[in-house]
Amino acid sequence: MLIQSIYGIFCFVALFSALLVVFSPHPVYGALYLVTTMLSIAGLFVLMNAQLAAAFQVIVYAGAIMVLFMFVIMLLNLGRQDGPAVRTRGVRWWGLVFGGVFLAQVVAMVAQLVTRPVGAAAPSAAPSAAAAFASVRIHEVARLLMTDYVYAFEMTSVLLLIAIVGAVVLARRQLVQGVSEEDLRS
Amino acid sequence: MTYMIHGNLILAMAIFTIGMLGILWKRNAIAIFMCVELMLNAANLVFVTFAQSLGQARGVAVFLFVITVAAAEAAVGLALFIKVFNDKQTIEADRLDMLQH
Repeated sequence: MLIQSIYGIFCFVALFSALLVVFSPHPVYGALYLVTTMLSIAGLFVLMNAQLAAAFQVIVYAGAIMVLFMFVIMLLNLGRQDGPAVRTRGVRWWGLVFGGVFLAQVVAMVAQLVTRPVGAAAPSAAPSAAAAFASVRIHEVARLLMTDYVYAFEMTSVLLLIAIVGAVVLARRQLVQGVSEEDLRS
Repeated sequence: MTYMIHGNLILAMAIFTIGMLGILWKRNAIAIFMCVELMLNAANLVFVTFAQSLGQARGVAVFLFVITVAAAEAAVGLALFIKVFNDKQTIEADRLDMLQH
């Protein structure tokens, strides 16, 4: 019963702050609500016995990525979004229409899934699924990363290297421009 | 514990839809980016839910890949936004319409 109420609180906070990410007028508030969403999703991971995923969610998402977002928002000094859009204001209402259609579609899919028990799709996995959540062991994840997913793993490291080099190059040119502007002024 | 699986799927669906709605709704490029992160979070929630309910480690492994790609994307994307802001003095998606003309 306690678990259920904690689960409900996490679900509510995640949903509510996800809505506020979209509807908050200032990007800084949006970023803070996004942190709240990520932390409550990490709480859901803990309730599902997925401690590794929860730790990564907190450290990488709520820690690293969101700090980057806050840095950039403060660096650009974005205020409240003022003034109407140039000419595409009607597009937002189309966004609402498409979002509603998409929501209806996914609700239909999930309703189909929920009316059928989860274990019914895979009878062999039914006993473990019906019981408590199995704890996925960390060394099993590590073994998968080093055997089945080793190519994807190496590609990920290359991707991170490219991202680092790209970010450095983009930032460096800007620095050179700033120096030259100061030289021009002085 | 079945209610948790169902509840997580419904929650992930709702968060994904909110993120998609935000992408179509918001005009600030950074806000659009945050909505992309919301959608990635919803996908992560589904991956981990099925990993835990089926006792499969693969879902958690894919979760790690998704989180890494999201980090790389955030780094490069935000650097690009700084660059665009220095050029155009705005990152409103509506005003970045050079390719329309």
